[in-house]
Amino acid sequence: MTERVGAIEGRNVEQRLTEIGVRFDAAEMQEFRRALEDLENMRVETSKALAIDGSKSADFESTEGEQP
Amino acid sequence: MSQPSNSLMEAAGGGMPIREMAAALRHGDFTARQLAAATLENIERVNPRVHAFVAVAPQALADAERADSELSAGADRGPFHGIPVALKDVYDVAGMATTCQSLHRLDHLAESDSAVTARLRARGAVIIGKVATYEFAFGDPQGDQPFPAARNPWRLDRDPGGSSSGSGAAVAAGLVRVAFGTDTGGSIRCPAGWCGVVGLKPTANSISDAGVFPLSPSLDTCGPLAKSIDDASLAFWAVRNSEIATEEIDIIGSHRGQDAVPADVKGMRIGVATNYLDDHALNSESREAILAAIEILRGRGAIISHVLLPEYSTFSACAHLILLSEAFALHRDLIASDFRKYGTTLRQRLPIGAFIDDRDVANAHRLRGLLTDKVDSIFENQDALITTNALGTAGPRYAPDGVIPGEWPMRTIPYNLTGHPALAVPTGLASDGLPLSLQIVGRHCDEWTTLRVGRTLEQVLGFDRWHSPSSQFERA
Repeated sequence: MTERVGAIEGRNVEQRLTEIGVRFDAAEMQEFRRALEDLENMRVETSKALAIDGSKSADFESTEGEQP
Repeated sequence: MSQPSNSLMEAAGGGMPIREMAAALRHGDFTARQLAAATLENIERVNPRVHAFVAVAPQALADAERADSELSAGADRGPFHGIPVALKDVYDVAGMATTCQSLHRLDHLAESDSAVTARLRARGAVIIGKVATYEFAFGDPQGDQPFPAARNPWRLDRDPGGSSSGSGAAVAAGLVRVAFGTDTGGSIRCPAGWCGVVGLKPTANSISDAGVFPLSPSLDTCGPLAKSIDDASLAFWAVRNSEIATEEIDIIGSHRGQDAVPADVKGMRIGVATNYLDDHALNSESREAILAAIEILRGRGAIISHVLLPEYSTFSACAHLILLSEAFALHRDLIASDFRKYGTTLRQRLPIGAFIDDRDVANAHRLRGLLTDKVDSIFENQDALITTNALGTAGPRYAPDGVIPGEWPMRTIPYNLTGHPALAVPTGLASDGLPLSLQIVGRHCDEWTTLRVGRTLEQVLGFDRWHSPSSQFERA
Protein backbone atom coordinates (compact mmCIF):
# COMPACT_ATOMS: atom_id res chain seq x y z
CA MET A 1 0.00 0.00 0.00
CA THR A 2 1.31 3.41 -0.86
CA GLU A 3 0.57 6.34 1.38
CA ARG A 4 -0.25 9.86 0.37
CA VAL A 5 1.92 11.78 2.75
CA GLY A 6 2.83 15.04 1.13
CA ALA A 7 6.34 15.22 -0.25
CA ILE A 8 6.79 11.50 -0.11
CA GLU A 9 3.67 10.51 -1.95
CA GLY A 10 4.09 6.96 -3.20
CA ARG A 11 6.99 6.15 -0.88
CA ASN A 12 6.62 4.60 2.48
CA VAL A 13 6.57 6.20 5.86
CA GLU A 14 9.39 4.13 7.32
CA GLN A 15 11.70 5.18 4.50
CA ARG A 16 11.05 8.85 5.09
CA LEU A 17 11.53 8.44 8.83
CA THR A 18 14.84 6.68 8.20
CA GLU A 19 15.93 9.57 5.97
CA ILE A 20 15.43 12.06 8.79
CA GLY A 21 17.04 9.82 11.41
CA VAL A 22 13.94 8.55 13.20
CA ARG A 23 13.41 4.96 14.24
CA PHE A 24 10.19 4.00 16.02
CA ASP A 25 9.24 0.81 17.80
CA ALA A 26 5.93 -0.79 16.83
CA ALA A 27 3.83 1.08 19.38
CA GLU A 28 5.38 4.41 18.46
CA MET A 29 4.85 3.72 14.78
CA GLN A 30 1.21 2.93 15.38
CA GLU A 31 0.74 6.23 17.19
CA PHE A 32 2.66 8.10 14.52
CA ARG A 33 0.43 6.71 11.79
CA ARG A 34 -2.54 8.16 13.64
CA ALA A 35 -0.80 11.52 13.66
CA LEU A 36 -0.31 11.24 9.90
CA GLU A 37 -4.03 10.64 9.52
CA ASP A 38 -4.61 13.88 11.44
CA LEU A 39 -2.17 15.58 9.09
CA GLU A 40 -4.12 14.36 6.09
CA ASN A 41 -7.28 15.79 7.65
CA MET A 42 -5.52 19.15 7.99
CA ARG A 43 -4.66 19.07 4.29
CA VAL A 44 -8.23 18.27 3.36
CA GLU A 45 -9.59 21.01 5.63
CA THR A 46 -7.18 23.55 4.18
CA SER A 47 -7.90 22.60 0.57
CA LYS A 48 -11.62 22.65 1.21
CA ALA A 49 -11.46 26.11 2.75
CA LEU A 50 -9.38 27.41 -0.15
CA ALA A 51 -11.85 25.97 -2.65
CA ILE A 52 -14.79 27.61 -0.89
CA ASP A 53 -12.90 30.84 -0.61
CA GLY A 54 -12.30 31.10 -4.30
CA SER A 55 -15.74 32.63 -4.53
CA LYS A 56 -16.14 34.56 -1.29
CA SER A 57 -16.81 32.28 1.60
CA ALA A 58 -20.30 31.56 2.81
CA ASP A 59 -19.12 30.73 6.30
CA PHE A 60 -18.63 34.30 7.36
CA GLU A 61 -20.83 37.27 7.79
CA SER A 62 -21.15 40.11 10.23
CA THR A 63 -24.64 40.99 11.35
CA GLU A 64 -24.66 44.43 12.82
CA GLY A 65 -26.87 45.32 15.70
CA GLU A 66 -28.10 41.88 16.66
CA GLN A 67 -28.07 41.01 20.32
CA PRO A 68 -26.11 37.87 21.09
CA MET B 1 16.70 41.56 62.82
CA SER B 2 13.63 43.64 62.03
CA GLN B 3 10.45 42.08 60.69
CA PRO B 4 9.56 42.83 57.06
CA SER B 5 6.97 45.58 56.76
CA ASN B 6 3.41 44.76 55.76
CA SER B 7 3.84 46.61 52.51
CA LEU B 8 6.94 44.59 51.65
CA MET B 9 5.08 41.36 52.44
CA GLU B 10 2.20 42.47 50.26
CA ALA B 11 4.51 43.47 47.41
CA ALA B 12 6.57 40.28 47.53
CA GLY B 13 3.41 38.18 47.86
CA GLY B 14 1.98 39.44 44.60
CA GLY B 15 -0.69 41.58 46.24
CA MET B 16 0.59 45.00 45.19
CA PRO B 17 0.20 46.34 41.63
CA ILE B 18 3.36 47.44 39.85
CA ARG B 19 2.39 51.11 39.97
CA GLU B 20 1.96 50.90 43.76
CA MET B 21 5.24 49.02 44.16
CA ALA B 22 6.95 51.72 42.11
CA ALA B 23 5.50 54.41 44.38
CA ALA B 24 6.46 52.46 47.51
CA LEU B 25 10.05 52.09 46.29
CA ARG B 26 10.31 55.82 45.68
CA HIS B 27 8.62 56.63 48.98
CA GLY B 28 11.17 54.50 50.82
CA ASP B 29 8.66 51.94 52.15
CA PHE B 30 11.10 49.23 51.08
CA THR B 31 14.08 48.90 48.78
CA ALA B 32 14.44 46.95 45.55
CA ARG B 33 16.93 44.71 47.33
CA GLN B 34 14.45 43.96 50.11
CA LEU B 35 11.77 43.26 47.53
CA ALA B 36 14.04 40.92 45.55
CA ALA B 37 15.17 39.13 48.71
CA ALA B 38 11.59 38.65 49.92
CA THR B 39 10.56 37.42 46.48
CA LEU B 40 13.41 34.89 46.46
CA GLU B 41 12.36 33.69 49.92
CA ASN B 42 8.79 33.21 48.71
CA ILE B 43 10.02 31.29 45.67
CA GLU B 44 12.12 29.05 47.91
CA ARG B 45 9.12 28.32 50.11
CA VAL B 46 6.35 27.98 47.51
CA ASN B 47 8.20 26.51 44.54
CA PRO B 48 8.71 22.97 45.89
CA ARG B 49 4.92 22.56 45.63
CA VAL B 50 4.12 24.66 42.55
CA HIS B 51 7.28 24.09 40.46
CA ALA B 52 6.80 27.38 38.64
CA PHE B 53 10.50 28.31 38.66
CA VAL B 54 13.26 26.20 37.16
CA ALA B 55 16.03 28.59 38.27
CA VAL B 56 16.45 31.83 40.14
CA ALA B 57 18.81 34.43 38.73
CA PRO B 58 22.11 34.43 40.62
CA GLN B 59 22.57 38.13 39.95
CA ALA B 60 19.08 39.18 41.11
CA LEU B 61 20.15 40.72 44.41
CA ALA B 62 23.06 42.57 42.81
CA ASP B 63 20.72 43.88 40.10
CA ALA B 64 18.30 45.04 42.79
CA GLU B 65 21.08 46.85 44.66
CA ARG B 66 22.02 48.61 41.44
CA ALA B 67 18.37 49.62 40.96
CA ASP B 68 18.40 51.12 44.48
CA SER B 69 21.61 53.00 43.81
CA GLU B 70 20.24 54.45 40.61
CA LEU B 71 17.01 55.57 42.26
CA SER B 72 18.99 57.16 45.08
CA ALA B 73 21.05 59.00 42.49
CA GLY B 74 17.92 60.28 40.75
CA ALA B 75 18.22 57.98 37.73
CA ASP B 76 14.61 56.82 37.46
CA ARG B 77 13.96 54.26 34.73
CA GLY B 78 10.17 54.22 35.12
CA PRO B 79 7.56 51.95 36.68
CA PHE B 80 9.55 48.72 36.31
CA HIS B 81 12.57 50.14 38.11
CA GLY B 82 13.35 47.64 40.89
CA ILE B 83 10.41 45.33 40.11
CA PRO B 84 11.06 41.55 39.95
CA VAL B 85 10.09 39.91 36.66
CA ALA B 86 10.30 36.26 35.57
CA LEU B 87 10.96 34.89 32.09
CA LYS B 88 9.89 31.64 30.48
CA ASP B 89 12.86 29.36 30.07
CA VAL B 90 13.08 29.98 26.33
CA TYR B 91 14.31 33.57 26.79
CA ASP B 92 18.06 34.05 26.96
CA VAL B 93 19.39 35.65 30.13
CA ALA B 94 23.14 36.15 29.97
CA GLY B 95 24.93 33.69 32.22
CA MET B 96 21.90 31.43 32.73
CA ALA B 97 20.96 28.25 30.91
CA THR B 98 18.10 28.42 28.40
CA THR B 99 17.03 24.83 28.79
CA CYS B 100 13.67 24.93 27.00
CA GLN B 101 12.81 22.08 29.43
CA SER B 102 14.80 19.71 27.22
CA LEU B 103 17.61 17.28 27.84
CA HIS B 104 19.08 18.65 24.61
CA ARG B 105 19.70 22.02 26.23
CA LEU B 106 20.87 21.37 29.78
CA ASP B 107 24.42 22.47 28.94
CA HIS B 108 23.38 25.55 27.02
CA LEU B 109 24.50 28.81 28.63
CA ALA B 110 23.26 32.08 27.17
CA GLU B 111 26.08 34.47 26.37
CA SER B 112 23.83 37.48 26.04
CA ASP B 113 20.35 38.67 26.91
CA SER B 114 17.34 38.29 24.67
CA ALA B 115 15.89 41.56 23.37
CA VAL B 116 13.08 41.36 25.94
CA THR B 117 15.52 40.69 28.76
CA ALA B 118 17.65 43.64 27.67
CA ARG B 119 14.65 45.96 27.42
CA LEU B 120 13.44 44.94 30.85
CA ARG B 121 16.89 45.63 32.28
CA ALA B 122 16.94 48.99 30.51
CA ARG B 123 13.67 49.77 32.32
CA GLY B 124 15.31 48.86 35.62
CA ALA B 125 13.47 45.54 36.11
CA VAL B 126 15.15 42.87 38.24
CA ILE B 127 15.22 39.52 36.42
CA ILE B 128 14.35 37.20 39.29
CA GLY B 129 14.49 33.85 37.48
CA LYS B 130 13.41 31.49 34.75
CA VAL B 131 10.02 29.78 34.82
CA ALA B 132 8.89 26.42 33.52
CA THR B 133 7.72 25.54 30.05
CA TYR B 134 6.79 22.42 28.14
CA GLU B 135 9.69 20.93 26.17
CA PHE B 136 10.67 23.44 23.45
CA ALA B 137 7.30 25.12 24.14
CA PHE B 138 5.73 22.29 22.15
CA GLY B 139 5.67 19.20 24.35
CA ASP B 140 3.38 18.25 27.17
CA PRO B 141 4.03 18.25 30.91
CA GLN B 142 5.11 14.63 30.94
CA GLY B 143 7.52 13.11 33.41
CA ASP B 144 10.42 12.48 31.03
CA GLN B 145 11.80 16.01 31.01
CA PRO B 146 14.54 17.62 33.08
CA PHE B 147 12.39 19.62 35.51
CA PRO B 148 9.13 18.79 37.27
CA ALA B 149 6.09 20.14 35.44
CA ALA B 150 4.57 23.29 36.94
CA ARG B 151 1.34 22.83 38.90
CA ASN B 152 -1.76 24.96 38.96
CA PRO B 153 -1.76 27.11 42.15
CA TRP B 154 -5.55 26.90 42.26
CA ARG B 155 -5.41 23.13 42.57
CA LEU B 156 -2.11 21.36 42.64
CA ASP B 157 -3.53 18.26 40.96
CA ARG B 158 -4.34 20.37 37.88
CA ASP B 159 -2.20 21.51 34.99
CA PRO B 160 -1.57 25.26 34.81
CA GLY B 161 -1.81 25.10 31.01
CA GLY B 162 1.03 25.70 28.64
CA SER B 163 3.40 26.08 27.26
CA SER B 164 4.04 29.18 29.40
CA SER B 165 3.06 26.99 32.34
CA GLY B 166 5.55 28.39 34.84
CA SER B 167 4.64 31.97 33.90
CA GLY B 168 0.96 31.38 34.69
CA ALA B 169 1.76 29.44 37.85
CA ALA B 170 4.26 32.03 39.12
CA VAL B 171 1.79 34.91 38.74
CA ALA B 172 -1.16 32.94 40.16
CA ALA B 173 0.95 31.82 43.13
CA GLY B 174 1.76 35.46 43.90
CA LEU B 175 5.50 35.03 43.29
CA VAL B 176 5.70 37.82 40.70
CA ARG B 177 3.23 40.30 39.23
CA VAL B 178 4.54 39.76 35.69
CA ALA B 179 6.15 36.82 33.91
CA PHE B 180 6.89 36.79 30.21
CA GLY B 181 5.82 33.89 28.06
CA THR B 182 5.60 33.03 24.39
CA ASP B 183 2.49 32.19 22.40
CA THR B 184 2.51 30.13 19.20
CA GLY B 185 -0.99 28.68 19.42
CA GLY B 186 -2.21 29.98 22.77
CA SER B 187 0.74 29.37 25.09
CA ILE B 188 0.22 32.67 26.91
CA ARG B 189 -3.59 32.72 26.87
CA CYS B 190 -4.02 29.07 27.88
CA PRO B 191 -2.11 29.28 31.19
CA ALA B 192 -3.59 32.73 31.80
CA GLY B 193 -7.06 31.25 31.43
CA TRP B 194 -6.41 28.22 33.56
CA CYS B 195 -4.51 30.13 36.26
CA GLY B 196 -6.94 33.05 36.55
CA VAL B 197 -4.51 35.74 35.42
CA VAL B 198 -4.26 38.15 32.48
CA GLY B 199 -2.41 37.04 29.35
CA LEU B 200 -1.60 39.31 26.42
CA LYS B 201 -0.55 37.95 23.05
CA PRO B 202 0.31 41.20 21.33
CA THR B 203 0.20 41.94 17.61
CA ALA B 204 2.60 39.76 15.63
CA ASN B 205 6.14 41.17 15.60
CA SER B 206 5.34 43.95 18.05
CA ILE B 207 7.88 42.53 20.51
CA SER B 208 11.28 41.34 19.31
CA ASP B 209 11.85 37.60 19.61
CA ALA B 210 15.63 37.92 19.29
CA GLY B 211 17.25 35.62 21.81
CA VAL B 212 14.09 33.57 22.33
CA PHE B 213 14.23 29.93 21.28
CA PRO B 214 11.68 29.66 18.47
CA LEU B 215 8.98 27.08 17.89
CA SER B 216 7.34 28.37 14.72
CA PRO B 217 8.77 31.76 13.81
CA SER B 218 5.84 32.96 11.73
CA LEU B 219 3.41 32.23 14.59
CA ASP B 220 5.53 32.88 17.70
CA THR B 221 4.74 35.98 19.76
CA CYS B 222 6.31 37.17 23.00
CA GLY B 223 4.09 38.69 25.66
CA PRO B 224 3.30 39.08 29.35
CA LEU B 225 1.19 37.14 31.82
CA ALA B 226 0.24 39.44 34.66
CA LYS B 227 -1.89 39.79 37.75
CA SER B 228 -3.82 42.78 36.45
CA ILE B 229 -4.64 44.57 33.23
CA ASP B 230 -2.52 47.55 34.24
CA ASP B 231 0.47 45.33 35.02
CA ALA B 232 0.09 43.62 31.63
CA SER B 233 -0.16 46.97 29.89
CA LEU B 234 2.96 48.33 31.59
CA ALA B 235 4.85 45.14 30.76
CA PHE B 236 3.84 45.26 27.11
CA TRP B 237 4.81 48.89 26.69
CA ALA B 238 8.10 48.30 28.49
CA VAL B 239 9.34 45.84 25.88
CA ARG B 240 7.39 46.69 22.77
CA ASN B 241 9.29 47.54 19.59
CA SER B 242 9.50 51.29 19.22
CA GLU B 243 10.09 51.24 15.47
CA ILE B 244 6.49 50.59 14.42
CA ALA B 245 4.97 52.11 11.33
CA THR B 246 3.33 55.51 11.38
CA GLU B 247 -0.13 54.23 10.50
CA GLU B 248 0.06 51.84 13.41
CA ILE B 249 0.78 54.68 15.79
CA ASP B 250 -2.31 56.40 14.42
CA ILE B 251 -4.40 53.39 15.37
CA ILE B 252 -2.99 53.27 18.85
CA GLY B 253 -3.88 56.91 19.42
CA SER B 254 -2.28 59.54 21.54
CA HIS B 255 -1.95 57.75 24.87
CA ARG B 256 1.45 56.97 26.31
CA GLY B 257 2.50 53.50 27.31
CA GLN B 258 2.66 54.37 30.96
CA ASP B 259 -0.89 55.72 31.11
CA ALA B 260 -3.30 53.80 33.34
CA VAL B 261 -5.75 51.75 31.29
CA PRO B 262 -9.21 53.31 31.65
CA ALA B 263 -12.28 51.18 32.43
CA ASP B 264 -14.11 52.81 29.59
CA VAL B 265 -16.06 51.12 26.82
CA LYS B 266 -18.81 53.70 26.37
CA GLY B 267 -19.71 53.82 22.69
CA MET B 268 -17.21 51.07 21.86
CA ARG B 269 -18.44 48.64 19.21
CA ILE B 270 -17.84 45.11 20.41
CA GLY B 271 -18.57 42.09 18.26
CA VAL B 272 -19.35 38.78 19.93
CA ALA B 273 -18.33 35.65 18.02
CA THR B 274 -21.64 33.92 18.49
CA ASN B 275 -20.71 30.76 16.62
CA TYR B 276 -17.80 30.23 19.03
CA LEU B 277 -20.15 30.58 22.00
CA ASP B 278 -22.26 27.83 20.41
CA ASP B 279 -19.23 25.51 20.25
CA HIS B 280 -20.38 22.08 21.49
CA ALA B 281 -17.05 21.67 23.30
CA LEU B 282 -17.51 24.84 25.35
CA ASN B 283 -18.22 24.15 29.01
CA SER B 284 -21.63 25.57 29.98
CA GLU B 285 -20.19 27.51 32.91
CA SER B 286 -17.62 29.11 30.61
CA ARG B 287 -20.40 30.13 28.25
CA GLU B 288 -22.53 31.59 31.04
CA ALA B 289 -19.58 33.56 32.40
CA ILE B 290 -18.85 35.02 28.96
CA LEU B 291 -22.49 36.01 28.49
CA ALA B 292 -22.43 37.68 31.92
CA ALA B 293 -19.26 39.55 30.95
CA ILE B 294 -20.95 40.76 27.76
CA GLU B 295 -23.81 42.12 29.86
CA ILE B 296 -21.29 44.01 32.00
CA LEU B 297 -19.86 45.63 28.88
CA ARG B 298 -23.32 46.43 27.53
CA GLY B 299 -24.19 47.98 30.87
CA ARG B 300 -21.10 50.17 30.62
CA GLY B 301 -22.24 51.55 27.28
CA ALA B 302 -20.62 49.22 24.77
CA ILE B 303 -22.56 48.56 21.58
CA ILE B 304 -22.76 44.80 21.30
CA SER B 305 -23.21 43.09 17.93
CA HIS B 306 -23.24 39.56 16.71
CA VAL B 307 -20.50 38.41 14.33
CA LEU B 308 -19.59 35.08 12.82
CA LEU B 309 -16.00 33.94 12.57
CA PRO B 310 -14.69 31.28 10.18
CA GLU B 311 -14.82 27.80 11.66
CA TYR B 312 -12.18 27.04 14.26
CA SER B 313 -11.24 23.80 12.50
CA THR B 314 -10.18 25.82 9.44
CA PHE B 315 -7.93 28.10 11.46
CA SER B 316 -6.53 25.14 13.35
CA ALA B 317 -5.73 23.01 10.28
CA CYS B 318 -4.08 25.93 8.51
CA ALA B 319 -2.04 26.97 11.56
CA HIS B 320 -0.88 23.45 12.35
CA LEU B 321 0.41 22.83 8.83
CA ILE B 322 2.57 25.93 9.23
CA LEU B 323 3.56 25.19 12.82
CA LEU B 324 4.53 21.57 12.19
CA SER B 325 6.55 22.38 9.08
CA GLU B 326 8.42 25.25 10.74
CA ALA B 327 9.08 23.26 13.93
CA PHE B 328 10.49 20.36 11.93
CA ALA B 329 12.77 22.67 9.97
CA LEU B 330 14.16 24.11 13.21
CA HIS B 331 14.71 20.71 14.82
CA ARG B 332 15.82 18.74 11.79
CA ASP B 333 19.50 18.59 12.77
CA LEU B 334 18.79 17.63 16.37
CA ILE B 335 16.36 14.96 15.24
CA ALA B 336 19.04 13.50 12.99
CA SER B 337 21.76 13.62 15.63
CA ASP B 338 19.99 12.62 18.85
CA PHE B 339 16.31 11.86 18.38
CA ARG B 340 15.95 9.80 21.55
CA LYS B 341 16.87 12.75 23.73
CA TYR B 342 13.48 14.33 23.05
CA GLY B 343 10.62 13.55 25.40
CA THR B 344 7.85 11.19 24.38
CA THR B 345 5.52 13.86 23.05
CA LEU B 346 8.03 15.62 20.84
CA ARG B 347 9.28 12.30 19.46
CA GLN B 348 5.79 11.95 18.04
CA ARG B 349 5.12 15.55 17.07
CA LEU B 350 8.32 16.83 15.50
CA PRO B 351 8.73 14.23 12.72
CA ILE B 352 5.23 14.98 11.39
CA GLY B 353 6.66 18.07 9.73
CA ALA B 354 8.82 15.86 7.50
CA PHE B 355 5.63 14.77 5.77
CA ILE B 356 4.47 18.27 4.89
CA ASP B 357 5.51 19.39 1.41
CA ASP B 358 5.94 22.79 -0.20
CA ARG B 359 2.49 22.63 -1.74
CA ASP B 360 0.90 22.11 1.68
CA VAL B 361 2.78 25.07 3.10
CA ALA B 362 1.91 27.28 0.14
CA ASN B 363 -1.76 26.38 0.52
CA ALA B 364 -1.64 27.08 4.23
CA HIS B 365 -0.10 30.52 3.66
CA ARG B 366 -2.69 31.35 1.00
CA LEU B 367 -5.46 30.40 3.38
CA ARG B 368 -3.75 32.33 6.16
CA GLY B 369 -4.00 35.50 4.07
CA LEU B 370 -7.68 34.92 3.39
CA LEU B 371 -8.47 34.22 7.03
CA THR B 372 -6.58 37.34 8.09
CA ASP B 373 -8.62 39.40 5.64
CA LYS B 374 -11.80 37.97 7.10
CA VAL B 375 -10.87 38.85 10.66
CA ASP B 376 -9.71 42.28 9.47
CA SER B 377 -13.08 42.83 7.84
CA ILE B 378 -14.79 42.38 11.21
CA PHE B 379 -12.85 45.37 12.47
CA GLU B 380 -14.25 47.58 9.74
CA ASN B 381 -17.38 47.69 11.88
CA GLN B 382 -16.15 46.66 15.32
CA ASP B 383 -13.55 48.03 17.72
CA ALA B 384 -13.03 44.74 19.55
CA LEU B 385 -14.14 41.14 19.38
CA ILE B 386 -15.14 38.87 22.26
CA THR B 387 -14.63 35.16 21.79
CA THR B 388 -13.86 32.01 23.73
CA ASN B 389 -10.47 31.25 25.27
CA ALA B 390 -10.24 28.06 27.34
CA LEU B 391 -13.21 25.80 26.75
CA GLY B 392 -13.33 24.82 30.40
CA THR B 393 -11.32 24.87 33.60
CA ALA B 394 -7.82 23.47 34.07
CA GLY B 395 -7.37 19.86 33.13
CA PRO B 396 -5.77 17.17 35.29
CA ARG B 397 -2.02 16.95 35.52
CA TYR B 398 -0.51 14.45 33.15
CA ALA B 399 0.61 11.16 34.57
CA PRO B 400 4.14 10.27 33.47
CA ASP B 401 2.67 7.81 31.01
CA GLY B 402 -0.49 9.83 30.55
CA VAL B 403 -2.58 9.91 27.44
CA ILE B 404 -2.58 13.16 25.50
CA PRO B 405 -6.10 14.53 25.19
CA GLY B 406 -7.37 14.45 21.62
CA GLU B 407 -8.77 17.96 21.41
CA TRP B 408 -6.84 21.05 22.39
CA PRO B 409 -9.20 22.74 24.84
CA MET B 410 -8.50 26.28 23.63
CA ARG B 411 -9.71 28.55 20.84
CA THR B 412 -6.61 30.68 20.68
CA ILE B 413 -4.64 29.77 17.55
CA PRO B 414 -6.71 31.85 15.08
CA TYR B 415 -4.95 35.02 16.20
CA ASN B 416 -1.47 33.56 15.94
CA LEU B 417 -2.37 32.90 12.35
CA THR B 418 -3.83 36.35 11.68
CA GLY B 419 -1.47 38.30 13.95
CA HIS B 420 -4.21 40.24 15.77
CA PRO B 421 -3.62 41.12 19.43
CA ALA B 422 -5.58 38.87 21.79
CA LEU B 423 -6.03 39.27 25.52
CA ALA B 424 -7.16 36.49 27.86
CA VAL B 425 -8.95 37.65 30.99
CA PRO B 426 -10.65 35.77 33.82
CA THR B 427 -14.45 35.81 33.93
CA GLY B 428 -15.14 34.03 37.21
CA LEU B 429 -14.66 30.83 39.14
CA ALA B 430 -16.46 27.65 38.13
CA SER B 431 -18.22 25.28 40.52
CA ASP B 432 -14.97 23.29 40.78
CA GLY B 433 -13.29 26.44 42.17
CA LEU B 434 -11.13 26.94 39.10
CA PRO B 435 -10.88 30.04 36.89
CA LEU B 436 -12.84 30.64 33.70
CA SER B 437 -11.82 33.08 30.97
CA LEU B 438 -12.62 34.79 27.70
CA GLN B 439 -10.60 36.34 24.91
CA ILE B 440 -10.67 39.93 23.63
CA VAL B 441 -9.27 40.49 20.15
CA GLY B 442 -8.36 43.85 18.64
CA ARG B 443 -7.23 45.41 15.39
CA HIS B 444 -3.58 44.97 14.48
CA CYS B 445 -1.50 47.17 16.80
CA ASP B 446 -4.52 48.13 18.89
CA GLU B 447 -3.67 46.39 22.14
CA TRP B 448 -4.97 49.47 23.92
CA THR B 449 -8.62 48.80 23.04
CA THR B 450 -8.40 45.16 24.16
CA LEU B 451 -6.88 46.36 27.43
CA ARG B 452 -9.70 48.90 27.94
CA VAL B 453 -12.27 46.13 27.55
CA GLY B 454 -10.29 43.92 29.92
CA ARG B 455 -9.94 46.71 32.46
CA THR B 456 -13.70 47.34 32.40
CA LEU B 457 -14.34 43.69 33.22
CA GLU B 458 -11.61 43.71 35.85
CA GLN B 459 -13.16 46.70 37.61
CA VAL B 460 -16.44 44.80 38.01
CA LEU B 461 -15.19 41.25 38.49
CA GLY B 462 -12.17 42.12 40.63
CA PHE B 463 -9.95 39.34 39.29
CA ASP B 464 -6.87 41.43 40.00
CA ARG B 465 -7.61 40.81 43.68
CA TRP B 466 -8.16 37.07 43.43
CA HIS B 467 -5.72 34.93 45.35
CA SER B 468 -5.22 31.29 44.48
CA PRO B 469 -5.22 28.88 47.43
CA SER B 470 -1.43 28.51 47.11
CA SER B 471 -0.80 32.22 47.48
CA GLN B 472 -3.36 32.61 50.29
CA PHE B 473 -1.88 29.73 52.18
CA GLU B 474 1.57 31.19 52.05
CA ARG B 475 0.48 34.63 53.21
CA ALA B 476 -1.71 33.35 56.05
